[in-house]
Amino acid sequence: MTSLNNTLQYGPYVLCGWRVESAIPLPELTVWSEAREWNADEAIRIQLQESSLDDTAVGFCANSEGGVSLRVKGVAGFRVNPGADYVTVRPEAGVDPLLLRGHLFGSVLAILCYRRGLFPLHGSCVLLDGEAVVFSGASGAGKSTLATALVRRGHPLLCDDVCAIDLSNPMRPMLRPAFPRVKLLPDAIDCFQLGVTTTYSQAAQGMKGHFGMAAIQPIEAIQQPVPLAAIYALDAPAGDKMGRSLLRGKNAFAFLESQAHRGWMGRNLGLHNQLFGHIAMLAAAVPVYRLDRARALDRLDEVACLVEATHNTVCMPAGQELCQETEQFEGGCSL
Amino acid sequence: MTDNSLISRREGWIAAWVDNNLIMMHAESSFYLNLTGSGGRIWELLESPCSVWDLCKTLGREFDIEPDAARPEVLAFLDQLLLRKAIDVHLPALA
Repeated sequence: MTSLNNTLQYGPYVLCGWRVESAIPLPELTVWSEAREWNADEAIRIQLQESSLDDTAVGFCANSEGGVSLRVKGVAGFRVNPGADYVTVRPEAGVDPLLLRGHLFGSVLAILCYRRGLFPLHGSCVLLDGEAVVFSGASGAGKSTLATALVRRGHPLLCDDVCAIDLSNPMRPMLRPAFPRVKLLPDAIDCFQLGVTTTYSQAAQGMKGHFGMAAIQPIEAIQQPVPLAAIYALDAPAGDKMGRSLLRGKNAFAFLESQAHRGWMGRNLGLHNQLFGHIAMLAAAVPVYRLDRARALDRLDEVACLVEATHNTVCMPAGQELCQETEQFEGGCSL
Repeated sequence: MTDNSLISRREGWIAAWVDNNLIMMHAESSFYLNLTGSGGRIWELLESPCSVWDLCKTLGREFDIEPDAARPEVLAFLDQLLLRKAIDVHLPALA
């Protein structure tokens, strides 16, 4: 028995500049201002389908008509239609709503970005002096923690996990803000004393899947696209070394390629050329810095100071290399 | 490969300049190459198939060196592209 809930009773919300109406509540999102004009192609509808998922294979599948389905075991099945304007959610019985929204604002948002011609970069993003600055890197590298430290110094949060970048003007990449909540592990929430403003996942403390979604920003969320000023490549913090260095050419490209959010999904959607073009444009237009920093959380403010200082003295890549060589570098698709 | 060998790009490669490097990707395999300096210029010149000697003459003009002096490096570079399946080399027709 299948029933499709088309009552889009929640919203409209704003997400990456899109107008979202939903059959499930999305409390992380900010409300779309009724005074704001919108076009039909900016609309996304999230509907709920209550049915057994037995017929749906776990994993990601792009069908021949251009639709996409994604099933996360123990959470939900998600379908995105070929036009990327409808998302159908089929939750598993008893699923933690926060966990479900975590996947909706992660993998599903990345699919929407790919399908709608945006580049989804894995990272957290804050607004520094009117421009967007992204902290990108593998899970556990400390992106959200560093972003939170900067928010506490007065810089608004633009997004966490998926940074939707609009490259329709290649010379001026723009960051489209998502929502000002940050996903943190409990020790970071304790460190920042954010417990009061945090919604926790249902998984027991100390168990995998236990995390909090913290509302860390008292001011109104920013909804308009913001010019992207810099990307910081984060490794897991180690040692006491502090500093930054500019990644050039292929190193910047290779880093961005590795941090395309679910890049393998973009390639499975047949969007190799779009993905390649976006990464190349981004590497050419926006400085990518490697950021070395100390592990200790009590030195986080020093790192934040370094970022603030760097942002005020951003320099574009320069230099000429006249030697002739080819070089293969690591990259590619893991299916 | 000789001066008269005709060089053409293989299909399936896309390329973009990043800083002063030309980054190339083979779309199907997601295999990447990074061409620096005049390597990127050679790839641009191969937009239309041309002979090794024509390449040497054009690069000689652009970089202000004798075509004969450019030849060893051009040949070595083309060998690398061939090894990575980025170009095809057509032998000159026998007279």
